[in-house]
Amino acid sequence: MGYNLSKLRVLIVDDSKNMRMLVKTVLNALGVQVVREAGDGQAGLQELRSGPVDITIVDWVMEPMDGLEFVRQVRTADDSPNPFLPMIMMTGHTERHRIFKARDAGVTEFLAKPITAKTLLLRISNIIEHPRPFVRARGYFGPDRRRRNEDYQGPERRGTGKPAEGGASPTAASDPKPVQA
Amino acid sequence: MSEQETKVQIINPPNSLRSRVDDGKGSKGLDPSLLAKAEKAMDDVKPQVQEHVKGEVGRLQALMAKVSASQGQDQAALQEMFRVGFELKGQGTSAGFNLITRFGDSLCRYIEANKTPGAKELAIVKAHVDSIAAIMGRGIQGDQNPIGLAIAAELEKVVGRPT
Repeated sequence: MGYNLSKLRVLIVDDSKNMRMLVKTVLNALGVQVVREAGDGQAGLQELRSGPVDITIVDWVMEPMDGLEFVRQVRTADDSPNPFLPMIMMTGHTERHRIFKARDAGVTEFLAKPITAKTLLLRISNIIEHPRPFVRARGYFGPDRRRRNEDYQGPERRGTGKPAEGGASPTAASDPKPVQA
Repeated sequence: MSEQETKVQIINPPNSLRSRVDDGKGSKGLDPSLLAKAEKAMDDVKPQVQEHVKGEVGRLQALMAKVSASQGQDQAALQEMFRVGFELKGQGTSAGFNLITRFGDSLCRYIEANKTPGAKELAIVKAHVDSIAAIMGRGIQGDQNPIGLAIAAELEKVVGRPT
């Protein structure tokens, strides 16, 4: 036996009803019972304000508010219900520059379409088992973009490098790597 | 640069997810049988996804006719073609039509790079649409059809590599 996902509360934000159905089907099969849905970023924010959510799976291309703006609002808006919310960006945009853009907006995981049960399960598993510290820096708030603890020999590039009260020391790492689905 | 500007704060938020998924028996990780269950669930809804993809392919063909009639000037229809192509890229494989995902990807990249297409560019766009329609019409599932693979490879040469 492993984790019991029945108590997880997941929000899917996607303008494609069919895609929401597909993701919800997989989540239900994994045991997730509370799956809420929204058709764009604005509706997603309203859903977040209406009750607690543990993980959000968000599409990129939506109107009027797209997934990138949704992520930015959750991370940095003054009235954000949960700036630390784990967010999986699920998109067909897999070009390198777009992956960096999503990362810099503060997404936790990147999931390339077409999705499979395995890739979705892996992203959820990663969020549960390998939570990353958050970084607040000039122009960025979100999960630590340095994923790998490698023996970085260069100069410290994060300013003071001093940990905040109750926080961990920043890791020394190489250039940030995008998460490839 | 002032100290304020360079200050970086590292925060370790409490991990409430771990406790939320704890089954009370000290189990760790994800049950491997869950993946099989989830894959079967995806298979079970495949007919619904296929219906959706079929509808989107029809929409793509109708949009192609509009764009062709306007000689590439109908920007609204062209943008809608991009959106439908993107949807097909995202869901073709989930419907079992892996080559639709591949052609959808190539189509979107081409439209994005050719926002005001001339006759030559429109021919390339139409080749994508015709290929997608043929895969759907003939029910070519998977990603091994030799003719489909050859056409996809040729079109991708024209479209270029993703950046």
